[in-house]
Amino acid sequence: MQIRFLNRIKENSLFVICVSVFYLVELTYILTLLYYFGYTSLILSTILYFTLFYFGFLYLAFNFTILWAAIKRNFKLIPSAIRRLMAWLGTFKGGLTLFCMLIIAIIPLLTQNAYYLGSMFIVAMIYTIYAASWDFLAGYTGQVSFGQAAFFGFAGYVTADRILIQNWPWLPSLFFGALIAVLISLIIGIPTLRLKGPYLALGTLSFASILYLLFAMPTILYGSTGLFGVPRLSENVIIEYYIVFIFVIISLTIMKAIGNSKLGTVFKSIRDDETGAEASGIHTTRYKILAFVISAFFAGIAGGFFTMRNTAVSAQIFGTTYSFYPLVMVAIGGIATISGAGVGAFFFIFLIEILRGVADFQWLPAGAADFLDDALIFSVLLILVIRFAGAGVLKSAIERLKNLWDILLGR
Amino acid sequence: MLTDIMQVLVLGSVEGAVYMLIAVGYSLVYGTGGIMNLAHGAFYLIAGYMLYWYLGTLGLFTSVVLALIIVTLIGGISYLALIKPLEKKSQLSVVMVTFAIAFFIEQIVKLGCSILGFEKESTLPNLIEIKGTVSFELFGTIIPYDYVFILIISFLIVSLITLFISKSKLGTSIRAISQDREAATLMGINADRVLMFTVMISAFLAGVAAVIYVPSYPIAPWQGWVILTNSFAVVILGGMGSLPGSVLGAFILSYASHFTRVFIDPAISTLVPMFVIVVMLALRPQGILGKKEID
Repeated sequence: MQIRFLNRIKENSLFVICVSVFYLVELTYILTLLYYFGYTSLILSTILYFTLFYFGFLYLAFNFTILWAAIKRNFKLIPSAIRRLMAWLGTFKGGLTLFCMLIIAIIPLLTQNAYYLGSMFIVAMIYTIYAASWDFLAGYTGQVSFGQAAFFGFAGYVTADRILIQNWPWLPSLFFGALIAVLISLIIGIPTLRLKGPYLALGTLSFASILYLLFAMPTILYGSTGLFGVPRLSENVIIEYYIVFIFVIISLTIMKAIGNSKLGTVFKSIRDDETGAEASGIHTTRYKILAFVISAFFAGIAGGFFTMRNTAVSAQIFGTTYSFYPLVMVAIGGIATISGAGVGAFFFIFLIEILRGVADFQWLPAGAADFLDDALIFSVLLILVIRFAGAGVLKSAIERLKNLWDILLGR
Repeated sequence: MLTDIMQVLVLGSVEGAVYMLIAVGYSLVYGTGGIMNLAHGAFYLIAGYMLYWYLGTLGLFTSVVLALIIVTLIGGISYLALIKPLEKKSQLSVVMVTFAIAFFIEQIVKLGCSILGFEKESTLPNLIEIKGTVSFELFGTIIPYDYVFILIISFLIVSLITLFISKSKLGTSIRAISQDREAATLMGINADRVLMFTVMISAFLAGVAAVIYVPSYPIAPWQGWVILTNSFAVVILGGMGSLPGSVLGAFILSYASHFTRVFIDPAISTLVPMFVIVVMLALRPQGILGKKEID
């Protein structure tokens, strides 16, 4: 058993990351159970302590062995990885990424305005994870989901439920919400992804609109008003900002790493030629479901954060608007570039702010403010981008900038 | 008990007839050009709102005709301007652009309501009035004359469309393209033109469905997505691209959803289309009457 694991580790250093993430999730889960059952029932909690600790310790010990072996195996890879990272930061793309990350990191030092930080930048970062999750699925595997809001919203509801009603701390609630989103994605993914063609688009779209109807019903599922009064990550908006920032970096890195790994190559082969991929021995259904599940997981994370940011969640979250947003952001930023989702999300938020500002002007003719509705403008924008610039607006702009950069450096 | 059964029968037949119109159009476009048109629900939506906006000022006949003409034109324009150029590029961008069109039309409807000063969600008065009453009674169930009208019109239109496809020259071209597009092009059929007419016919059918159904059902901007979801369920149940399948699927689905609504629970009734989609795709992806091989 262990030898087989070690061979896999040798092949794939990504496995180390997965095991460590899994271990972290497990630890938080156990801590949560302790915390939660510590208050309610003494007997139940005692039984749970024993079973959990007994099996948990065995399990953790096993995990530790594997983890330690993996770290030891991959230890000699670290210097070369650092070297590669430094070299990447020296290139145009790496430098640009670092620059953007630094800018976002120092924004709280420049402004402490709760509106700018909270309602614009934090929301933009949450949308970044959300749009990247859509981009991961559509860009790498070529499967489109028009109901990403189903995972976004469902995870939001579950997170709110855990925090408000079950009194869980936010971190396990967040992961629990994402886990439920993953389970739901399996229900839609397994029947629709077995088939070629845009059946996933159809299944997800239907699922989201049915969830909208279900959650809007007054008597079941928290009623039509939804859940409200969810506490934020922190009272201090700056701490909240940095927590979300760290999650954005981790999520985008994981998605980008998967995209660049062997697994990502398999995904891209499915996108480019599904029959060809099948012919070369790839179990396409399994990989499509895997990509869909990863996408749903990150959409769930984003949904949890979004609910905590808004302090409330209602059936509106399942509306087509929220399924539509990631499409616009990715269309602006460029498809199959996880980082483009971030650029698109920030551009999107700024454009909404600008539209809102313009609509407030006094000299506008009466009724003109109606035309400045953001959803209207974004749908026109999306149609134009798909029609005339399939690769996305910013991708080509960045290519131009890169050419300019090369000319300036005399290359 | 009898009233319950009557309710299921009456409402199920009416809704089934409406979904038959919508799904036949949807299925026609998919079967002919392989276009997954996500804007189909939006065609329904815009026609319904046209009727709603014009009814007060232009009178019944003019507003119905105007709504149908406009929705047919929208179908033709969206095919020519957006779907046709993208069709050569990739299937994915066609699906995305029809989604964007649907979203755009939803926003247009909201914008129209706020500019023209209408409520966004509303109900319309009954269309048919005989001897001063709008409904009659049958086995203790009140049935508006509109329902009878819906049944007659939808069966009439579907029969006409079927006749048109089997007899006319354009209909023959549509069938030829659905069998083999390249061979049909080689025989001198202009595939783009025929597909444009197919999309226009499907938009017209959605428009007819809206015009006859909107007076007996409240309209709201999000309704387009519900219509779209239900027509997915219908065509998957009946078979993608099969017109008899769509007719059968429409009635099965609407009886099933009304049966669950009356006898079990409204919440479960909402889940029926999703259940149908998931189960049918898992067990029989080609649908009940679909012959086309789906791999």
